[in-house]
Amino acid sequence: MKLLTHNLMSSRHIKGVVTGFPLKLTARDVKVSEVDFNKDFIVRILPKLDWEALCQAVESIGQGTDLPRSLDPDFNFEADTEFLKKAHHVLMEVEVVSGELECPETGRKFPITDGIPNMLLNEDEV
Amino acid sequence: MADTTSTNTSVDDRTEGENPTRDLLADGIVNMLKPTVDQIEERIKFTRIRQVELHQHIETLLIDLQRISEAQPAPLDFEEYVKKLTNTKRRVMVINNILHNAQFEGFGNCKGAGLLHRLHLSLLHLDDEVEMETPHFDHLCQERYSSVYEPAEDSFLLLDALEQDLGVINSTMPLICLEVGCGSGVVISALGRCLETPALCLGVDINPVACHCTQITAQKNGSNVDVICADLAILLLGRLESSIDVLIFNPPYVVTESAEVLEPGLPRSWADILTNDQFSLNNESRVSPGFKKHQYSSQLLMKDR
Repeated sequence: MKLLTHNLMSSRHIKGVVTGFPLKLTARDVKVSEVDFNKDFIVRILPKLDWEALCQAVESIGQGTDLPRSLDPDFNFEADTEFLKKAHHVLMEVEVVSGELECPETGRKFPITDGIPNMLLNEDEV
Repeated sequence: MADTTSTNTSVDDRTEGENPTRDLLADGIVNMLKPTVDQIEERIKFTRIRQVELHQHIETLLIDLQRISEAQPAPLDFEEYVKKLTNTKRRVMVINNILHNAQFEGFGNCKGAGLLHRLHLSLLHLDDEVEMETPHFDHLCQERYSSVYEPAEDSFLLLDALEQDLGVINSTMPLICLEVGCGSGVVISALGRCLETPALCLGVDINPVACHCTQITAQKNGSNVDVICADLAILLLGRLESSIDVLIFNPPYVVTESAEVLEPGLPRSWADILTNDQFSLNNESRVSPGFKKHQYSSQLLMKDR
């Protein structure tokens, strides 16, 4: 599971959960594989993401880089290739192979095995 | 065939209610056409039998080739040929499907002409290089994947529909492509490979084995796909809302007993009719505005057929 995917997931499918985001991430096994950097893709995907949640996720799996904790609305990231490369690394190249996702509201845990998060619920949780 | 329809319509326009001349004319035309229609039907029947034979031949050939490449210690590369055969198999399946529908619908109406036209187009493209190659899915024959829906006519038809629109899809530079019910992973892997700009390709399936299978299919075909095991669109609630650029969905269309919904594995994947309806009712709001055209689901397939 890429951190980009993690940033798009929530546990709002659990009964009673309001936002269910961001899912707390713990990783037992992390894999880093090289993916071609495409500046345009990162520039276009960034506005769709929750930056703070991404930083939290990066930290929680011990892949701490010197990413800014929050993005200034005036920050012109399009011009900052160094920053975009770092963002590319955490979004596309870091993958959680095994670990857990935890609903921030209910504490319900979802396992990640072989890089696949299992978000299925029991009958009574829906 | 189209001419017949237009004549009928113009006669209809002029008169209302009983019209012996029109009836006589219609009968005459129908009688005139009948031998040809019968002949076409006969031919279709024959062609279908041939197609089925061809299909079987290709399949045995595929198995033979696989066996040879396994038995051959020398580095004989059959990969290319196996690929070509798989692509041809896909085309044959699609043509077969069209023929089947042609036979089923009969040639008494103008739909026949449309079907013939599509058939003609498909036959024309039979020799063409397939832009969107059918991914390899040999690993599906392994016992552990027995509960995964094997790529069939509908999957190939979906690949064909996507291939036809590949130019349009690429021109919109999609960022997030999602396949709901990715099963074997053939469709999302194929799409992931022919996108011109990078995108996040996501596969969602309720069946954990299918999720694993999608991952393997993507890996084997050099496609980058992230997989989530989840119940249909539930994951789309919230975060993914209005950010999906391409949504692919080939929902189950076999009506099943509601008890089956509770069974794990393949029966459950097939039986999610109820959720399925909810999904199609709601999915309009899930895709990003401006990309609403690019939803690929069986609805499209139905139209296509």
